[in-house]
Amino acid sequence: MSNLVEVKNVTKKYGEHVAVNGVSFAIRQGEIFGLLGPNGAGKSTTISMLATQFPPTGGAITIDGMDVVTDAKKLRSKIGVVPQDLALYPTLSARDNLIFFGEIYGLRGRELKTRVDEALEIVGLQDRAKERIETYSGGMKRRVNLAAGLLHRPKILFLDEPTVGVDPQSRNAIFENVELLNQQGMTILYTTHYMEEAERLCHRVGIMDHGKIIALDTPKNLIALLGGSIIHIGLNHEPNGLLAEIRALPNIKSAQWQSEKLIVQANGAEGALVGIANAFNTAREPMQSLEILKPNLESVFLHLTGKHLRDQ
Amino acid sequence: MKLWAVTIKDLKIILADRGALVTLFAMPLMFIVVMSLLLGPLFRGADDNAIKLPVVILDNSAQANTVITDLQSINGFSIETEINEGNQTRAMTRAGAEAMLRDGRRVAALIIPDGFGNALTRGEKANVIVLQDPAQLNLANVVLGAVNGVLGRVGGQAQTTQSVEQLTQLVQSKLPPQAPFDADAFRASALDKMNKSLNTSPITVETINIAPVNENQIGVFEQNVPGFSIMFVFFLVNFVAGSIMAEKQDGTFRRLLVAPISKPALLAGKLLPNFIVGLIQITILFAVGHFVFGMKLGNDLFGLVLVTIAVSLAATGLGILVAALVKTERQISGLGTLVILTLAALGGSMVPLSVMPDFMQNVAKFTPHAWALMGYQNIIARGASWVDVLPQVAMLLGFAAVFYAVALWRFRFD
Repeated sequence: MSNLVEVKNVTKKYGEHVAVNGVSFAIRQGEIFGLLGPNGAGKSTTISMLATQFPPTGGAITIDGMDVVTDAKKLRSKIGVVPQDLALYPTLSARDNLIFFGEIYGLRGRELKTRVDEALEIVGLQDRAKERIETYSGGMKRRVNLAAGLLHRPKILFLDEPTVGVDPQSRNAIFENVELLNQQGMTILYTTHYMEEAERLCHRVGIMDHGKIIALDTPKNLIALLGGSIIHIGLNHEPNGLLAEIRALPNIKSAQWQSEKLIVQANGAEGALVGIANAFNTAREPMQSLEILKPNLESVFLHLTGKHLRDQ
Repeated sequence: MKLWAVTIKDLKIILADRGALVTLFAMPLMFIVVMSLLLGPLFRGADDNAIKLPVVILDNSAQANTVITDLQSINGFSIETEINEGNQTRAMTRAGAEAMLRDGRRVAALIIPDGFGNALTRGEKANVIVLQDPAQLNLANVVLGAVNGVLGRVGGQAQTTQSVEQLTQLVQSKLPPQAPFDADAFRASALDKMNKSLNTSPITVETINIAPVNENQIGVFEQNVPGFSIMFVFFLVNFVAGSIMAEKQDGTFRRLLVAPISKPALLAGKLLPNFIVGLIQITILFAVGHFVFGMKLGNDLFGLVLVTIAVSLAATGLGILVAALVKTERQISGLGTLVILTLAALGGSMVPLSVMPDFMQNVAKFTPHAWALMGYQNIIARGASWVDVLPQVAMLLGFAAVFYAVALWRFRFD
């Protein structure tokens, strides 16, 4: 598969603040590429630069062989953008919103009508297309927001946190839309801070933190980095001597003290737990809580950064 | 107490809302200060007069001086016998007075021609000329009334003197030296002549409009419709700025910035509908003025169209300037409305320029409103053609150009 998007050593600075710091990645033709990271990690800034909204401070981005700075005008008709904030006219109907955005992308007449109908069908809102956007639920607005990015059949679609504040039904509808569009051949860049979305939808995921990509692979490979199980043991205080003892046990890959918890990564939970329980008994250290987790992108992120994706 | 908690919380919210503070405090203060500056002279005494009357004195007689002195003694009038040209102060000329009338800075001027005093001394008819601005006939009539009053007195005095002189000669020539003198009959005769003389002044007032008056009298609608249309077309400022702010807040601007549309096309697309609304707004207001209230439209509709296009451009330009300077929707309702009302008050939309003090008349020239008003009234009330209002149209386009230039310089798309 050839690369549709190439991001090379891209930096974006606002004065002293570095929002994106030397990021490099490529998006292959036809894949759903996820950018996963907490709020403020630099995902939206990255997507804005890809969408030609503003130029990078350093580095280069090409999409379909064209530079996002020098070829911005030509590129804009090949990319679709679904911004994180709802970008719609609340007092106009869904259909009028879509007609307007279609016209901006140069669509006219019968073709415009067909594309608007198509987009409404994809997001399942034909029935209520004539109602004002302001009367819609949050989830319906999100779906119109998505439809507006599809009208001109872009080669690549940028979806910036498309499920924020959405009810489960609309969220599922959006997932299905994204999968359908991808099956039809559309390349998709999907940013989110919900790891389960990235796991479900994305072929590959880049994990961002503090403006950098700290890991990039398929969700499966990223999770396999951790392997086995994750055991969280809640304690009142840092178990100084105990930590070294647990690390020395068989089947234990790592053990660290984070956020009032002892986090143990083990090859298998059952084998490890006996040894851990014995160590606690010997040290006469009571456990406050015990949690056994299967590794997922959240735990990968936790493992890589020492913090959660979302505030807890 | 919970009541107080709610009260204090809401006070904090109001005090944090700059738009509300502008509306509650800055706006009334602006009205108090500006309207006091504009109308102050009307409320003050004789030494600081409201209506200025340029007087061109071409006659050096005692009677002419009496006219001046009498006019000066009227409260609410200020007589101007001199004119400032460059750094020089010279005697008022007819050309200078006419220029002030054409600019709308004065409503009328008095000319006392050469030979005025001599004619009165000889007991002949004497003539004065009153120049008046047909666009401001209501005020001009006030001036004319005052001038007529003074001239009646001066004329009466002159005629009384003349009559007494005639009677003395009559008595001296007809009576033998020893004949008894009938004092009662003499007094009655003298009084009779004096009374007559006071009722029929020998001074005639020739009234000249400095521009042709269209058909009949200029009414209140010819004065107020243009003034208030200009004031309210500038409310477009809030609509332009508000719609740009809404695009920013709704995120649609961001979507459009990554769409294949250039920034100039995007901004022009935001301005054009408001510009068109401005044209429609003025057309409807003038049409209502004309068809419902019988307002005259002058002789050159094309001239009205030119001024309307120019004033709508200036209004939308000011709108985008406000949009470039403010950061929140509340600031628009505060700052926008403050700018709109201040310019309207300063620019003569609320109070005719002619009643403003000289200083404020000069300030008015820094508002597009004053030029638009001048353009409209030149056509409607002074019979001007589209060529005559090109200077006003050019000034309005100049305002628009400055507004757009500063706005584009300060404008932030994100």
